[in-house]
Amino acid sequence: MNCEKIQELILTDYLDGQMQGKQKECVEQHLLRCFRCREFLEHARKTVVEPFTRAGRDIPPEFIWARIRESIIAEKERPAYAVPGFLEKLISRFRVLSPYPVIGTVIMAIFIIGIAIQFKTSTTARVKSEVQEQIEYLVSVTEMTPGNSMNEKTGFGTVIEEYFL
Amino acid sequence: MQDIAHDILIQASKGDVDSFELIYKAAAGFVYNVAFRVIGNRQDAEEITQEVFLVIYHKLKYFRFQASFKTWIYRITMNRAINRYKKNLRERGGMVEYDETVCPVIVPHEIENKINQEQCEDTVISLLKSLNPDQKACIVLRNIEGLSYQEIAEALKININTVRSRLKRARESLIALGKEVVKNEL
Ligand SMILES: [Zn+2]
Repeated sequence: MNCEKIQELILTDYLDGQMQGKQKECVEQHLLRCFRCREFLEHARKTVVEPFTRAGRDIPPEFIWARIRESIIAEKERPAYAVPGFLEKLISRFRVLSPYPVIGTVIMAIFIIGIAIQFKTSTTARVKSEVQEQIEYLVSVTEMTPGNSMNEKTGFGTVIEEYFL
Repeated sequence: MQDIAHDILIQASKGDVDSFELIYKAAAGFVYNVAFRVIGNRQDAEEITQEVFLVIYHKLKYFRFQASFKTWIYRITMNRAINRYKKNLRERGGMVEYDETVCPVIVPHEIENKINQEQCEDTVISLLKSLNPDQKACIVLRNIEGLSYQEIAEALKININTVRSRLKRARESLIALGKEVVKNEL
């Protein structure tokens, strides 16, 4: 192996101790003979490994767990029939926006539009929930089987996956 | 990251908050520190940690126990942290602010005093800053968290040779940066 190839291996597997057997022997034999590569190894250790072994670590602040716990418990205690937050907001906004003379018109309009799209929404809602289930299944399969994706060359997979991660 | 017992995972997947707290205690250090190193500021690291554990809590019931729980946490953390970093980059026109003032709490033994500690921290930050997010992720997982190539490949969902080439390029540019710094100091 020439110096270029040796230095490439030094920068990866050799520095990281991911090398065994014949290949490691080969690199070490070369290092015995070649001053330039020995120097390169020394320099690489100092500049790309040692600074990070001296990196400190932080303890996560305690309020993080407190917030997580709070959010989990709030969710558990929320009754199943509760109106979702955004609907609640929407309703309260309508209450503010509707003075008496307008109410009748608005109610009529909503009533008519409601009937007109009822059939459509009931169908799309069903389709949507099926799609949702399928996505969840796909995600549970792709996220949780680390072995399966090893042949992929791409980064973070699909849009669906990124949404769920 | 500490190992997490199987029965704790089972209990937590049924919604038991105390068991989930044990998972949090075992993994929060990893999640928080990796997020901090990738993104560069503590406030985002706190938010990402919170997000990651809420995702874990909600999806634990779908988790298939023959797969590695650690790998799953690695993946969720890396995905969220890298995406947050990229988002910050987009929103702030390519300039990301790094926390450089506060030093980490746990410091390796060989660093005796505060000045040394601050210097080390400055070096780590400026080295990481110079890398693109993909390279940075590999360096953080390998050099700070000590993951193997195989574990990094699984965490980032990339081929093991892609791990090699990203580490190689990252280190080449760190070496070049080192030379540049020396040249400027002379
Ligand atoms: Zn040589």
